[in-house]
Amino acid sequence: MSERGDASSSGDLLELWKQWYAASARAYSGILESSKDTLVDSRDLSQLWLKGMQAALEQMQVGPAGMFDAGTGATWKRWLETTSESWRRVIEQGGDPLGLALQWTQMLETIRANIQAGESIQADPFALFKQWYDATSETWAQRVEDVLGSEQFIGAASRLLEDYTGFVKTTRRTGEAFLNQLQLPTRADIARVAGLVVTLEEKVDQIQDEIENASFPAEVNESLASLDERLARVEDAWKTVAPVFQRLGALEKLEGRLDLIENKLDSIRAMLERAEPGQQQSPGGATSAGKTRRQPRKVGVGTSEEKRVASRKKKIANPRAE
Amino acid sequence: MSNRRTQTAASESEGIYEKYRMGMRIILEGARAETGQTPKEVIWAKNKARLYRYKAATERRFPVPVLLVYALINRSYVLDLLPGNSLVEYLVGQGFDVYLLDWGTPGDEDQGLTFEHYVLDYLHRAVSKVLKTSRSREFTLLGYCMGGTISAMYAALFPGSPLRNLLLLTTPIDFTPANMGLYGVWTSEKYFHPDLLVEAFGNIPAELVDLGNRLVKPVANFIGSYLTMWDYLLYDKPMETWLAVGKWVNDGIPFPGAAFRQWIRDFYQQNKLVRGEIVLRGRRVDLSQITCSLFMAAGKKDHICSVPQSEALMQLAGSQDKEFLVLDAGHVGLLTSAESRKQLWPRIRSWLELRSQDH
Repeated sequence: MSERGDASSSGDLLELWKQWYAASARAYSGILESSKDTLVDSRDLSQLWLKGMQAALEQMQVGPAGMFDAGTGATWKRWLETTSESWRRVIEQGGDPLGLALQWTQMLETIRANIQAGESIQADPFALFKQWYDATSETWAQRVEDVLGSEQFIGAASRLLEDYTGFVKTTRRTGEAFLNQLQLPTRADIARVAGLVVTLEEKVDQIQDEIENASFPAEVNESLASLDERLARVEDAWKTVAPVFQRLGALEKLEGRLDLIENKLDSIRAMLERAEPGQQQSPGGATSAGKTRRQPRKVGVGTSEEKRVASRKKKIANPRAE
Repeated sequence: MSNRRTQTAASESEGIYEKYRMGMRIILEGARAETGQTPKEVIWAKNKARLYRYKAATERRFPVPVLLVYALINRSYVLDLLPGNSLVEYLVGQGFDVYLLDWGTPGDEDQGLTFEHYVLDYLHRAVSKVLKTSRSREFTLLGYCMGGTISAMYAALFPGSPLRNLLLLTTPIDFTPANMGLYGVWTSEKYFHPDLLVEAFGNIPAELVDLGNRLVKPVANFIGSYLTMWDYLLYDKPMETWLAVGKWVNDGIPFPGAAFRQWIRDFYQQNKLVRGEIVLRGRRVDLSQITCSLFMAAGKKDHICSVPQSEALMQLAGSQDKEFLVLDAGHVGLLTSAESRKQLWPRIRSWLELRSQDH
């Protein structure tokens, strides 16, 4: 933007401000004039406020930079002084029935002290607001909490709550009656069904509880205890024997393999015997050479492998038996 | 302006717009976060309540299990807020066998639930399940806020074994009005009639309870917290914890009507607990009967449960082994703040370590 544009826009802004100020001052004075008999005479304080605003306007006329010079804060200071002075006069004249003016004044004094002690006014609007909040929130909070804890507030809130709960009750009753007319289930109906389910679950829970905590006669407990001990002994014994059985299992596998090899040898022999008709075969399958068949060692109840092997031997030894 | 300056300005504007959009989304739709992520399994259920056992990340070093009990009006995942900011995760990582009793969300059919049910039915049964599952003869009970009050009543009614240790965090015991700040004034019998709310709503809506809690510190809760949000967003500060806590604060659950009536009338208005006048199903709750090891913690900045409200139990309990710790934290900060992670959690661990071995 050109300087000429800046000057004309700032001039417009100032002109606008002057017009607003003049109109507000006229209106405010008019109100005070008409109400001076009924309200606390605030002419003095209003004059004080108007003077302060006039001074602010004069400062603005120096240039926009003079108004928002973050380094000086003179305008803020003048505004705070003017406003706090106004409220102080209100208090002195008794126009502060709720005590708010006193609180405002104290708050403004605190704000002024905090801002003067702190950094210059921020250009970032959020940072400026945060600075203002950090400076004033405790004061604000205390004032608000004082109001919330006052008898007037609590009494009013109690009446409001009473009216509101009455309204809610009426609304719910009306709503339920309407739904009943339409033959539609209401929340109360659904809650009743849910209550039945909860009661049923409670009974199941109690049964489970009884079973878990059930106590038996002393003899039963003793028997159970002795059974426990016996089972523990059996488990210990099994731990000792289990490796042996595992080794037996390996032996069984060897037995099975040996039997397979024997079968193969038997079949080879049978073929040889068929090839040499002069040699006689004994019914048991043993040859006249006198070779004896190794008897399978019976272990336990017999594995399936043993049974298969035994069955094959039987077939080979007595092929005509089938 | 050059193209480069235009592009920089455009990207800055877009960045600010994106942050503004995120902020407005949080305000309008609520904060979102992945909470309660420590692996767990349900080992028992009753009505809406669930008893969880957290899966061991490391070898369990301590045979005495820890049962966590939270309040009736908030979600229990605040105890397991985020990875790296979770009391549950911390205790599991230290080798404790951790259980959590989640009360669930009450429905209209649960309006009649009272503290008798919660202490004598739900909690008592949950304890037996914990002992059976952990195969332990003793357990530790850790209660937070109203969960601590429930735990204290349980400890008074069932003193001695199997309860070995009792930990109570920011637990209100003494409801003397002078110690309660605005709560003491608002709940006075002259102005507050809980029957009105119970008759109108049945279960007290979570929003109503939340409004009451927020009005205790209105400027901080309605303005300050959002100012903090914008501060985090605009200046790119980490805000995972803020989002998780924000989600939890706005995720309340209804207060069963009968329990609410009891809580206001017997506890807040008549302060029966410290006088030994609370009677649950014919059994008088006498806090002097608490004889197990007792550890309590409270926050200086806690405006929901002040330090004197908690500390009263130190005088009333019959325990010989007891300790009271005060932290510079608020009601939720006692669980989730950096201060708590540095001071409170290690103190809980070291205190429990000595008291969680087999006799």
